[in-house]
Amino acid sequence: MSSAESRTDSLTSSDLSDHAGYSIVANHLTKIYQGNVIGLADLTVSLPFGSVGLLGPNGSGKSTFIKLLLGLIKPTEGDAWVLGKNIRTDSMAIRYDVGYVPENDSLQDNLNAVEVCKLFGIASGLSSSDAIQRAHEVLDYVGLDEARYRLVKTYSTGMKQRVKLAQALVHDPPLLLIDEPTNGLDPKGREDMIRLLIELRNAGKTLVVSSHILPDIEEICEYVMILHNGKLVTSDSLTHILNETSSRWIVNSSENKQFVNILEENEIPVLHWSSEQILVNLEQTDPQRIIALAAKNNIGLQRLVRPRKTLEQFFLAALNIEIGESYE
Amino acid sequence: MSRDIVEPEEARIYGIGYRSWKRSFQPNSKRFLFLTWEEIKLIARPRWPLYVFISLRLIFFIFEVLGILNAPPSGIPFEQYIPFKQFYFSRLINSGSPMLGLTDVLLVFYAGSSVLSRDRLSGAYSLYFSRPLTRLEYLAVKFSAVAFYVLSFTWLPAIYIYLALGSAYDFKPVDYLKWEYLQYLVAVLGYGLLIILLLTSFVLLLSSYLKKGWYVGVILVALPIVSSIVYSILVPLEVQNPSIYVGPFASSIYILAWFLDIDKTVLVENFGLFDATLITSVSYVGSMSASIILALIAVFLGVLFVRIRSLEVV
Repeated sequence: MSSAESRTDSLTSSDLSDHAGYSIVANHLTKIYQGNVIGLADLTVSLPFGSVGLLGPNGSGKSTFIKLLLGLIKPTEGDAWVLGKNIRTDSMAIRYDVGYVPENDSLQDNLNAVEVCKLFGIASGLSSSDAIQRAHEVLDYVGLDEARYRLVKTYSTGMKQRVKLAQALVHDPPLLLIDEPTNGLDPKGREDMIRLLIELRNAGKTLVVSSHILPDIEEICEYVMILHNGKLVTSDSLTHILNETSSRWIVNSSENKQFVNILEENEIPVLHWSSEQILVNLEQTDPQRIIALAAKNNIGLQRLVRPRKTLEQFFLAALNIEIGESYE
Repeated sequence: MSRDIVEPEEARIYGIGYRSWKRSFQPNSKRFLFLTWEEIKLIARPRWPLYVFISLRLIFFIFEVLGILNAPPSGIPFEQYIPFKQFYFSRLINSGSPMLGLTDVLLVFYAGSSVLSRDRLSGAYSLYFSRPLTRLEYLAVKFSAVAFYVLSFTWLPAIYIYLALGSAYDFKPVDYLKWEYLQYLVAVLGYGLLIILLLTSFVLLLSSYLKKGWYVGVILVALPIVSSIVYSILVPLEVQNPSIYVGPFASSIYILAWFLDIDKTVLVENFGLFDATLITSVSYVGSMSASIILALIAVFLGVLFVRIRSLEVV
């Protein structure tokens, strides 16, 4: 299942009975809050293992989706499975395997970082001695040294984010649900957090990272799912998304006008050109042919590059499609 | 005073890599005990209230021992002077310690007033409820921690008064364990448990709704004041069994008297409890009041459970 379309179709009963290939499966998952506010609307999606980015503007349903998976809120309709376990019937079993990093503060001010990790380690089922040992291990990992013995209320935003990550890791869950991990962080803090998450991904954890900061998702995730107004816009692998425009190349030559004529004579589609550059579609043609044509016609070829599409472009385009605008 | 928060050097990441863990989990019962113990430690963390309560108890202890030793007129043995259960009852009332009194209210207020509101306001609900911990277990942990902490203060005086009395009555060590006497200690501990369960469930219920811990304190202080005002209106009207209508704050003494099997006439003649003339019998008022308290505990805990269970952590 590689295309967005096939993932967003209704799941068949055989799909529902076999979630082996997916970390999270949602089937018509819907959440309507009091006052008829739509949190999530009929979401059907299958997310792979690895690192998944949940993208969407504020209020798009990212946090609602995560909270539904954790059982913090109850679905109005539909169902979902986390690591093959049903959120309605196996909620407790899911929580042994999931670590949650919430968006809001969540930390009790009267505790220090060790106590936070120990307390939630015990709540996760660790023995007291395991919890204290594990608390120190995860705090070492996130880089809190002596500060771990200070009360949380004295911490900066970046340190609080790290403590939240540490408490989520204390029981070593295979899946982490992370809500806006870089929110409010300065550039250094953001860089550190991304580094930690990438390291976790490389250590084999499955990460579901919700964010509206696209470069963060681009750095961390291999797969993205875009939500808007509680609805799924698209979900696909990042590689697939970013390579979508691989047929578009930029050509810079000494004689752009002349070269455009040559390209068109040779049936190479020119999408756009100016005195600075030519944009061509090489879907049916090898780039070597451009080089050969330039050489044959004594035209100096200064640059031939395939620009990468950024996630931001994809995201904006996806949202435009969703609200009915054209995608250019 | 505002505090400048800076990113300190110690928040550097050293790139030591992530270390996994063998993932072995405790059974639910052990997790419950570990977690309750952690909560008790958190409640007991601020030292000054602990010292205040311990000091109060020590002062009571000294006065009680002096009171017990000076009680009988010289030359009359204790057992001839006053029956054990009656003496026990009088010392408990004098000390005020296991009664539904100010000390218990202060203790429960201190220990429980912000236990739930703190989690709710800090957003810690989302961390607790994303763990393999049912809402019922979460409540049981909080409830047990508060109740245990308060009971440790409430039970201790009852125990040391029992021991001091035994000493005054020339008990041999084995006498302390004789059911003939031990039944009174058990009755007093049971009474203390009933009262603390009532206060704890009420305070936790308030804590789940109110934003500030001191709001709980205001309600706790207001309740006995309102009770005593209503009671003082009912007594001159010679309403029968007035304490039942007023509630636990006025009727708790009759529960203790019922538990210790103290007669109505003894209450009037020996303890000057003139209101006792208005009651049908100690056992009637005591049992009715205990039933009302049990019903209140069930209602408070039921509402609390429904509230926490239906809570959506948005």
